[in-house]
Parts: sequence; structure tokens; C-alpha cells
Amino acid sequence: VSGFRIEVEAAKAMATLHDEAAGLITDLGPSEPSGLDGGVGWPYLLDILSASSVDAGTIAQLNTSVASRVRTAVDLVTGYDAAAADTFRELEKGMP
Amino acid sequence: VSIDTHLEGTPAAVRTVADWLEQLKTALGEAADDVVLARNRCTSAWEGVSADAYYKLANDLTRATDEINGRAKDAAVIARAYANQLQWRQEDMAGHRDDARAAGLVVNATVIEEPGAASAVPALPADATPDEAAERQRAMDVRDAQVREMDAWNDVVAKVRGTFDQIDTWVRDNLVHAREQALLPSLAQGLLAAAKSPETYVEVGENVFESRASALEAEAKDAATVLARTRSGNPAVRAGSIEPSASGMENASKPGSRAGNLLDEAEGLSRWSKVLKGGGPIVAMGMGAFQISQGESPSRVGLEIAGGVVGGLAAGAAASALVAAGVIAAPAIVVAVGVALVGAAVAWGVGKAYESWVPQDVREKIDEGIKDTWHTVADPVGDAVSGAWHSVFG
Repeated sequence: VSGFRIEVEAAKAMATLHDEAAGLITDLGPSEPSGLDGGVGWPYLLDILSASSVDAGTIAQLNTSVASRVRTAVDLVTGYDAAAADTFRELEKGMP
Repeated sequence: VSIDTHLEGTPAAVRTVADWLEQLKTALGEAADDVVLARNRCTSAWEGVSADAYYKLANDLTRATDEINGRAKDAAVIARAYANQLQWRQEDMAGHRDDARAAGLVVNATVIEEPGAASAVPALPADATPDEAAERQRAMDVRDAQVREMDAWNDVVAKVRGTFDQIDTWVRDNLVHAREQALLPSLAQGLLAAAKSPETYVEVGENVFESRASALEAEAKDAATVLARTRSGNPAVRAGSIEPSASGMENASKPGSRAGNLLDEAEGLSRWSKVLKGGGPIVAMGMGAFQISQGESPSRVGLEIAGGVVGGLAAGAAASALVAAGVIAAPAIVVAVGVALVGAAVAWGVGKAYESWVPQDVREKIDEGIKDTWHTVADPVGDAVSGAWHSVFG
């Protein structure tokens, strides 16, 4: 791949930011209101609340997924680096 | 017969929903900031098609987060507006009960009892004594009181029904629409669908590895062939008329040769391809994202993108300023600011802008404050002012 470069530590920090983004949202989960005496409009409000929760949860899930993918990319790159190193080491072993 | 003025619902409980939605909005805003930070870091730390793909994905994720942020904000506003409506209508009901008591009607908790029917009072005979006349007058007074109570009953029943109608109408006109908006498809759902799609990530990831491995193998074969021809004692092989022997190719591909190195690399790629085939949903960002970088962004996969960002930053700032200024907590100020705002809006002819800039719950507080003040203070002013009122509020 031409023009490829990645700073491993920076990429890990990016993954951490996505994890933090997910955590900001999921931390609110336990305090989500439920079972309230909301009156005649409560069924509608409950649907609105649920939709907001589900959508926000999706954002959290996506951030977790992106964090995982970034880390996998880092693992792949470092894996290739190690494999390339092995190739040179093997070559070196064959040298007199 | 009786009428129950109890209006179900606890405004404070509904406000906890609004509070939570506002917290959610804040959390989404901070989450979006984190994604932007990560995306910006990518520009200096990561280059290549995978970096491009990540950048696009982070952009989509930011937009999706902003969209949900906007929805949470709208939901918080409508929840707070509903809490206000609930409180005001319950206060109206309490007022109806006070009116009933003042009119002499029996009120048990939230239930107002219908008064007895007015009793008929016979006509006074022409030769009635003064005592009989006085007795009849007392009966007439009782009957008049009963008539007044019945009038008050009819009036309070109409008002109670009107209050029930008012909250029902508000719910129908506002919460039903808000619910529909909240349930519209979101960018986040489209992104998640793309993230879970094996076509988007896994298969392409495998293909990228396998395709690269095949290219390396072909390159290794070419390199080995060139070397084998050079080493061959057969002039026909050296001239390229016939292919090198298998042993010649094997010798030319030994570890350490160019062909050997290429084959090692190809083998490594094939190994990753096999990992991906057995790896389920855990897929390499770099390779999976490669496909995305070649086509549309994931948010466009199978999704109709609806609308843009709702509202403007100026609106939020204006509303926050009103709240921060204590507009909501102090009715007198509500009226003062409300009149100024409404007056200004009418004078400037920017009613729609007013609706856009000031959240519904704040607008309704202003309206309610003006109406309360109107009913308690401005009624005696007369028809001229009343006409002005109707020119504004219909």
C-alpha cells in the first residue's frame, strides 16, 4: 500500500477517545427515568424517551465498534511489522 | 351526580424526564467532541486509504451524533413543555374547585358534587298573613340560592370539561407529532446497519488480503522464473523457449531469494485472510474501511437520509439566556419579558422567527404568564384592550 503511515500510540489514543465517547453516553443508562406518573401524555413521552435512548445507545455502540476497529488496525500493522522483521531475520540467518 | 377534577400526572416526575434528556444532550455533545478530536488526530497520525476511510467514518459518526443530539434537545423541550401544561391544567382544576366551594358547592377532595334541584315556591295567596309572606320570602331566598348553585355547577362543569379538553388537545397537537419525529430513521441506525453488514467489512477484507497475496505469488513466480532461466544449463530455457524445470523453480524460490521473500509475504497475507474468514464480526478497520473508501460512506448504505440539523445555535443561546435570567421562575418577569418579546415580534413581523428562536416550553410559559396576568389584572380595562389582545392571540 503506497503512502501508508500510522503512529501507533496516536492511533491507540484515538481508540481511547471513541471509548470515552461511548462511556459518556452509557454512564447515563442507570439514571434513565422509568415507571413515572406522567398523565395522559405519558405513553407518547415514553416513546420519545425510548427513541432517544435507543439512538444514543446506537451512537455508543458505534463508538465502541470504531474503537475496536482502530485497535485491530493497529494490531494488524504491528503484526505485519513483526512478520517483516522475521523475514529479515530469516535472511540474516542464511548469511555466512 | 358529581364531576372529578383529578388530572393524572406528576409534573415534577415529567420534569425528571426533561432533565435526563438534557443530560443526554450534553453527553452526546461531549461524545461528538471526542469523535472530532479523534478524527482530527487522524490527519497527523495516520495516512493511507484506511486513514481516509476512518476519516469519512468519523465524519459520519459526528453527523449522526449531532442528529441525535438535536433530537434529545427537542425531546427535552417537549417534555418540559408537557410538564408545564400538566401543572397549569392541574392548577386550573384547583381553581375550579375553589370557585365551586366559593359558590357553596360541596367539594370532596377532587370531586365536586352536583347541588340539589331548586325547589318550587308556591305563589303567595292574596290574603296571606305577614308571617306567611316572610316564610315565602325565606323559601324564595333558598330557591334563589339553589338556582345560583346550579348555575355555578353548570359553569364549573363546563370549565372542568374545558380544562380536560385543553390538555387533551395540547397532547394531540404536540406530543403526537413529537413522537413521530423521534421515531424517524436516524443516521446512527444506518451506520450501525453498515457496521453489522458482512458485505461491507468481512468479505471485502478477505478479498483485499487474498487479492494482494495472489499478486505477490505471481510476482514471486516471475522472479523465480527469471532466476531459474539465468541458472539453467539448457540454452532453450535460457532463451525462454521452454519453461524452467520444477527443481529449477524450487531452487530459485528458496528462502532468501527475491521470489522466496515475496512468497513469504504472500503467505502472511493469506494467513490474515484466513483469520478474517474465521473471525466473525471482528474485522480489520484498515482493510474493511478500504471498501468504504472506494464507495459511498456507510451512512448512505441502505438509508434515506432525512432532513438536516434542526434549529440554530442562536436559538439555543437565546433560550438559555431567558432561562438563566430567571424568566421561567418568576411570573412577573415572564409577563414583562413575554410582553416585550411578543410585542417586539408583532412589531417587527417576525413571529415565525420568534417560534424558531425560542423553545416551545419557554414560549408557552410566556403565553401562560400573559394570559394569567390578563385574566387577573387586565380584564377591567375594557373592550379596546381586549381587541388588541385578540389581534395578537386570536
